[in-house]
Amino acid sequence: MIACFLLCVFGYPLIAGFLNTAVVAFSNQSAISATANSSLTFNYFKDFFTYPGVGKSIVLALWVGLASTALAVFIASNICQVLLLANTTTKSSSRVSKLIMVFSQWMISFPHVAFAISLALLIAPSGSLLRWLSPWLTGFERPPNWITLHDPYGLALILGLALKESAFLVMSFLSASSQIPLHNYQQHGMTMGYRPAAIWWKILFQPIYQQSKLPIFIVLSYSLAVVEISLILGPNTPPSLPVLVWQLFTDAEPNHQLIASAGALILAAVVILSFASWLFIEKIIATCFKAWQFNGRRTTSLALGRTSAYIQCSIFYLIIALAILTLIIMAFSWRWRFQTPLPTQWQMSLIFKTIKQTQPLITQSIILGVSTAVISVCFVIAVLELLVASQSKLLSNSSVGLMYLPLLLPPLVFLVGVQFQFIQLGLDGSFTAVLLGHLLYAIPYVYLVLKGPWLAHDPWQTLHARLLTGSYIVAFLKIKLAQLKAPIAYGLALALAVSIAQYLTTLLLGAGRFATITTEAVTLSSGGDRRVVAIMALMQCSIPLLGFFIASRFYNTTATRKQAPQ
Amino acid sequence: MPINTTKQTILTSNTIRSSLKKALLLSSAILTTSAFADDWQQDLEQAKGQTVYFHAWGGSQAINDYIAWAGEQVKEQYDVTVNHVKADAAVVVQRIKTEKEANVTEGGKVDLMWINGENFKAMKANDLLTGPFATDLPNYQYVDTENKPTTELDFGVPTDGLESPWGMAQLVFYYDSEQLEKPPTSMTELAKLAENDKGRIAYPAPPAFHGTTFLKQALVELTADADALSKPVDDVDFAAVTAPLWDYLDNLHPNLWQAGKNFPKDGQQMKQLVNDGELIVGISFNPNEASRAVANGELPETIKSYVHSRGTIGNTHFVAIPFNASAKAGAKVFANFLLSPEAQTRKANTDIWGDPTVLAIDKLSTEQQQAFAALPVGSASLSPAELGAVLPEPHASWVAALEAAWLERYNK
Repeated sequence: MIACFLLCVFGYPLIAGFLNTAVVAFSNQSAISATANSSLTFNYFKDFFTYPGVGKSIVLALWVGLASTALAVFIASNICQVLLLANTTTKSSSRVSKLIMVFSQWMISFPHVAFAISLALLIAPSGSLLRWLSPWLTGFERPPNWITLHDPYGLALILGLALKESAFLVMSFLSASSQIPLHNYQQHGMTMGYRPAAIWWKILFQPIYQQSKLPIFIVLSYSLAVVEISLILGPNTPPSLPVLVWQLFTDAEPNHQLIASAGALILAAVVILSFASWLFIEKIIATCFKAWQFNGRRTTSLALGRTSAYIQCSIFYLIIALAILTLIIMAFSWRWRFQTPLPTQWQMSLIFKTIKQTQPLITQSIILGVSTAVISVCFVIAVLELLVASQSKLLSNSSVGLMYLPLLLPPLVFLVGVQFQFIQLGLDGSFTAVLLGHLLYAIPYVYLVLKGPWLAHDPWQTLHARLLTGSYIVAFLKIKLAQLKAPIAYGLALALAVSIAQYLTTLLLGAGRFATITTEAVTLSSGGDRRVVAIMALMQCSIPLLGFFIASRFYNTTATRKQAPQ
Repeated sequence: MPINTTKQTILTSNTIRSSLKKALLLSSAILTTSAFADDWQQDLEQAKGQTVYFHAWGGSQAINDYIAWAGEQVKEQYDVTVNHVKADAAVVVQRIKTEKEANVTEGGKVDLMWINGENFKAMKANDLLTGPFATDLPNYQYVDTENKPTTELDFGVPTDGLESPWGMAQLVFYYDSEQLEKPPTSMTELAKLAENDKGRIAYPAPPAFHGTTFLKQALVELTADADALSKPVDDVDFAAVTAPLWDYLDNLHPNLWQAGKNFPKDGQQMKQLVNDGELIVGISFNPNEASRAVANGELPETIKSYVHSRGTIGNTHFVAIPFNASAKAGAKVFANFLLSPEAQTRKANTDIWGDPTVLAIDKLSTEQQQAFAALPVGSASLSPAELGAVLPEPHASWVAALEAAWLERYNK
């Protein structure tokens, strides 16, 4: 029953959207009559593969996806190593770990586009980093003719994606670590004389990694198929595959849109190929390191050591902090040219003007975000309760797979198709349409957050409560919900952040009429006034930030209570 | 909605249309008695209380403010509410196509859109626009169709009244006078400049439209057979006509910004790069954009504009009504207001937007002429005389051909 329901909710729009794209890609008629009966053709695939630069675009997308995900996993492991191993030692290190937690949550809520812009402003040849260092250190009177952005190997893009996505992986790793007997392992490791770094890499990393495969694949799919960030940081001659497909989609030439449909399917295939490649590489690495893992040595090489982890974490956080500092300075600047470390003229007028103009959008974004958060959390709780009640493992796996589809498939593949469905139903441009679109993306994230704590919750407690109160509802509300309020608060905040970040979904399903703070930010960024872009980016992240702040009050109180008896 | 057939027969005949236009110019008395006037009254009545969803690129705060102002005016004067939907024209074209595929023949989500060039060609070719309306607008009489032929020929494609002219555009370059004493006056000189000061010149990668325009400008200046450009690209020897262009680019690219391995995304990014000092020359399609950017703190005060001595490519941008628009009458009323001398004067003001008018100043009343004459001149703008000759766009078919050839050569 649950599977049927989930199939209707998630399967229908996705499959219909996907089919619509496929029909267009395989049909041999013009865009307008493409959905009518027309014969099968591979012409558009042929056209797509002969389009200039496609081969390189595909390789680039695969490389960027795999490399940035690997780097993100590495960063996240280092952060988690510091975090999990520090917890048990001194007071100052527990303060550090608390800071890292807050920072990670904050990074998740920081919109991708805003982060990409910040990084671009930092590392461009005329960026703030060189402004601060020139000419006293570098001797540059003018910006150097370096390629630090849009480099042909996508290194800037890889760095940006890895830094941003590592925050999501940190939270995933932490959630996974709560599902293994962490302290047990740690105690055993310590009694056997393993150094902390060796405990992490040799004992803890593997089970945590195994539990986090899904989040890693979500990151991989996202990094490979993202359009907006590739536009800001990625190479452009040729661009990586998703950008190329998006350019073809939005081209005035009707033929190009059909080629784009074929391209979108290829993109989906490349994503699947990347999953396979990831698993393959993982196998090789696992085989190579197996001997090392069980060689019995209690220490690790310096590169994987604890000090090295601390240094690496510091570097990551320094880059992020400098990037965001640049964004803030930019938001308050009026004139800021190369060589001056700070703006020569400052302003507040643009800030006031932007806030005044975007006030209705903020309200709209909050209403949409809060609705998305509440509905998705209620929906997920309902599904989880039903799952617990029915206790069917098979059912859970198949339905869960469906739910994650929106996160694993590139949005370009089905969003245009979903838009077509909504237009036919006369739903597009309505609040409902946009809300449904946002739910597609929010629900899987909420599910990811709530699943662990929900299934780990002791069923005896519920049973006892039911026996004592005689009411399922009272038992549920007073015992289960009350005990699980931390993950619920976190899920609400995450869903809000996901909703605020939606761009393509809002644009296509809202018929453009539905302006949110994010669509406005992207629109204004096309005008190239970076000060306004910076202001919008800061405003954009303020809403989810507020959400996480409120959620963290629940989170922290529960955490301290848990720690108290120890 | 079926198109008024009598109106269509009148309009398909060009001669009758132009004579009617003359009649309109002669006296307003004729206007009140003509069939147009009745239709217009009907439109005004119908438009009352309608909401017009105007889809227009929203990247510029100045333009957004102007559209908001125009919306307030038509609300006050005609009881028409305008809702500015900030969307790129290409996305709107894709949307309307999807609506047509889904058989949404009325009640569409777009009432009026900002459009020109390739997007117009695509909309026209796919019958995605409502029937001719522009020439029926009362304010169309002021349009300078004689001296600004691009108001009727959009990238070489006849507008046939399917879109109403809104503003003029001309390719202009701007430079930082602190870093460059004498700006180049031709593509050849630009290449020399790039050779002497390596890495400071760039152009956006086609198909970004500033980039494509740069190619067209270079082609016009360099080719031996300029006449071929006005013909459809299939009728000429493309390779022979464009050979000098590719020679030129092959030599230019190593001296470009980032050694021609990278290109700015669009004209907007070039503006940032000029402000950052990475580039010394920028490209714009609005002769007053540089002035506005200086006033707005986006460019340094040392910025000046220039054009090439043989003239630069110019065109017109328009507004058009999709075939399934929900508020057609309201859209017409708004389009007519955008053409009014009042709205056009304000638009041409560099403190507001600085978009050149499509109207013929000499067709206006003395008072209106004075309003235009009193407009401020931007610090980085050129006078109409300095702007020089406007070169026509090559035939619309050249866009796709040039872009494909460029991508084939340099997108690898």
